[in-house]
Amino acid sequence: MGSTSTKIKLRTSNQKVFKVEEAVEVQSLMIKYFYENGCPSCVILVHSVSSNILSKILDYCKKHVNSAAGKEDISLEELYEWDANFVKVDQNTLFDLILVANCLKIESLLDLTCQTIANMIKGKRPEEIRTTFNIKNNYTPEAEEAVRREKKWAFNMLGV
Amino acid sequence: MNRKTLLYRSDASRFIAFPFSKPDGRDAKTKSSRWSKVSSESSSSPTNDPDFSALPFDILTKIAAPFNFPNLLAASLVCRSWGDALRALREAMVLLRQGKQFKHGRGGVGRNLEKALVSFLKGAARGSTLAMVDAGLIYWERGQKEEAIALYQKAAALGDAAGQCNLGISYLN
Repeated sequence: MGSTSTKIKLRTSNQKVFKVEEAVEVQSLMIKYFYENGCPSCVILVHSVSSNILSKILDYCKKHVNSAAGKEDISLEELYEWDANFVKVDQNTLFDLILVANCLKIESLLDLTCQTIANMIKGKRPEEIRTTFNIKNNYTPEAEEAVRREKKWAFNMLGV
Repeated sequence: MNRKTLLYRSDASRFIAFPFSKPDGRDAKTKSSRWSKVSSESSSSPTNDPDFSALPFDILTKIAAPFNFPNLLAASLVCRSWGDALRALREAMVLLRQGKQFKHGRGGVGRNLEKALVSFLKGAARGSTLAMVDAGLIYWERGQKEEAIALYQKAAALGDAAGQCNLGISYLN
């Protein structure tokens, strides 16, 4: 690893090019696939991803790769804390992180961001969740009632 | 520089394009086509408000996989697309309840571990980590530890605390 001539480049929506270190690439199953299938020095357009988001994601990959490889002296607890701080971001950013982690197949980042959203949902009523995520209720009263009733008929059918 | 296109070849642009279009409920295309040529996509501004109601179904399922019924119902009632996305998990809750009845012989059914396991596995297949853990428990009690651990691992990876705990215990054994 480490030859500078074989670096995958990512180009963002605002035309900024990021060279990706191979160590970081392996965090992304998608980039790893390109790398292993004979495209080690190609340019990948990450369309509609801003350079802010991409550099944040590359920071995440680098941190995790380095700590796993023992290049950085960081305990597991410290890494969890770093992760927790990493996702303390506004909702625009969180949303973009999820989509990019999903498309680039960065599993640990997808887990982290999904769990962040899950924690923002748990224990809330539907209207509170809508407020949190700025979502409009587009259910008709009948359709909403049908979802509420699902449980009753299903459990009745089972004799609960 | 060696530029290659693995998935799409465009004469105009020899790049690989990840569109990362913001999902948009009004445009069903974004759900099905993850890959597309960059030239055919209109770029969306990064300052657009995110539309959380249009999160891809697989991501919503992942988010809600460890939810209990009250959380799942609340999330399902947020909007229609969340309700649609979480339907399989709501079915999983019914199967989970059914499995528990068979496991404990409650609700007018006789105790039947085999039927309980079938229900839990069906719930697990629909994505619920609660069902994965319960199926794992039955496998564990039967001595099928590999199957149990595989299910605990899957639940743990989806953020299920019980799955993580059981996985830890199974490694201690």
